[in-house]
Amino acid sequence: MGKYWQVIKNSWSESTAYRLNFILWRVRRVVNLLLVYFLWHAVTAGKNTLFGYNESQILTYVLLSNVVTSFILATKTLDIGDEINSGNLTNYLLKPINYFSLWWAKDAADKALNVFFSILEVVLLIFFLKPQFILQTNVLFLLFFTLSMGLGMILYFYLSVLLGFIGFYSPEVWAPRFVFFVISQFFIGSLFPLDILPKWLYLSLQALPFPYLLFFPLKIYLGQLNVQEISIGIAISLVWIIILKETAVRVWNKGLLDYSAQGR
Amino acid sequence: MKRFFLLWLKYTLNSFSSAIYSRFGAGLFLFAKLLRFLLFFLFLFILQKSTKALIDYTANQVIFFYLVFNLIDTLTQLLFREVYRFRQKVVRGDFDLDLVQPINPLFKALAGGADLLDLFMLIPSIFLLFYFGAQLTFASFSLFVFLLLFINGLVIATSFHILVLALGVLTTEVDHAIMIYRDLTNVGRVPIDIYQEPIRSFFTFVIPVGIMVTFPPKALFGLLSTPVVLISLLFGVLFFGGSLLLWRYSLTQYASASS
Repeated sequence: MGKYWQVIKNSWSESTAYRLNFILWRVRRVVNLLLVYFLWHAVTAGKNTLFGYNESQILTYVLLSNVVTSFILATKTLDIGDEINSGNLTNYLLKPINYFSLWWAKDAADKALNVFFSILEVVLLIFFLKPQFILQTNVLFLLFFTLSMGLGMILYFYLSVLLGFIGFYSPEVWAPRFVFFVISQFFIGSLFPLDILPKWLYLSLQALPFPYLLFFPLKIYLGQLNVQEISIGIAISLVWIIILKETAVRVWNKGLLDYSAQGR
Repeated sequence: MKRFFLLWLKYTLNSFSSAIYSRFGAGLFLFAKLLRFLLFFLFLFILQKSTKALIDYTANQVIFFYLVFNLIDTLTQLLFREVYRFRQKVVRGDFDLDLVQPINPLFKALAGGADLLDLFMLIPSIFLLFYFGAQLTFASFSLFVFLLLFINGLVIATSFHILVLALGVLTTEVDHAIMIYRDLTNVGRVPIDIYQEPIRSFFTFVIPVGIMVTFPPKALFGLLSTPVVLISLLFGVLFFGGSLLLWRYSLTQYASASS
């Protein structure tokens, strides 16, 4: 456990060594958040409800998405593909560490920093923009919200790791990730709540992992799902986690057999 | 001028050969870009069906704003793709090799690797622009002002890219200056008028995204007064001049530290 704690500390040192980079990354996040916030602010202004959301619900959804994405989507695993292609993976194979645990530790450091700043940003935005932010007080919803965030985090970790493992079989690691990024940008619900989509598309998406990375936790927070719907969502998340984890472990074991440390 | 064009053609063909070396990767990138364009378009379309108007604009006008933004964005990506690779050149010291060649270093840093794959993106973009443009009513003089401000928008976008290049020379700490530019300009995917003050003024006069992408359609709809059009054009010229001055200054500070 001590060595992974050291990894976390090293990751923090790395991030604080390139402070301007990190700050500018957060600026990018805030600019994107403002785009979505003001778009929805303009669309819902003067209307009682739109797509089943009132103004305070939709603005809470948008603002809270900044924190939830920082928790679920902040990851360092983007580098895995390049490490395999450059042969740097060898460095880890020679050390007494578990490769998956190593990335969990790096991710933990990254998520902690991002969540801290995202909460700060949201508090500042609430202070300056003064939206009617909904504070959920129902303990059951808060518990399910926390659980769904945890599941979303695990789900995204294995998705991202699997995309990195493409490096075992192809030097082209960024193009598939870019496709994934574009698809997930829309279908996790970061630009709009997914239930504004045509019903057939919305229902089809429920079977995929994307909604459980953002939309599902936020719907729980807003109290718009009943216990049965939450249970189904959690069950689907768990099934995807099992599938993706098993696939990731198998691809890793198979990939190591094919790995030739090319580039070293 | 002919020499620059021939050079640009040579660079572009080289860059295209390199881009299609991995056809699989190039195809995926193209697919993703097309998908992003269509999905945001779908999103606006859904909004159109459910809301009669966004602020004071009709749904068709909002879509037209997005299409103009997309056209300027795609054109600049097509022409100035080399900017995305510039910082690495500075960090590795490869920029020295450009400086010793009898070629304007700004020209090479800016246009030395056009991305012809983006040409494919222009097809749906232009088609939809004409389709939705034909459904709008406007005076022919407004069309002229639109074209003038559209060119002005391209000049401002070029200036932004020159600023990013200058920043790349002046500091090695900013990893993704070009991506910050992309995020900042993304606020122009919808009319800049939806933002509250002082954010609206910030994105009009400090980071002139509004002048770059929102003003051309506004001129077409007859919503810009003559003084505002003239000030916008002047702003474009001054912004371009300012970016060139910063580029020249940055070259005097280049220490070739990495080579």
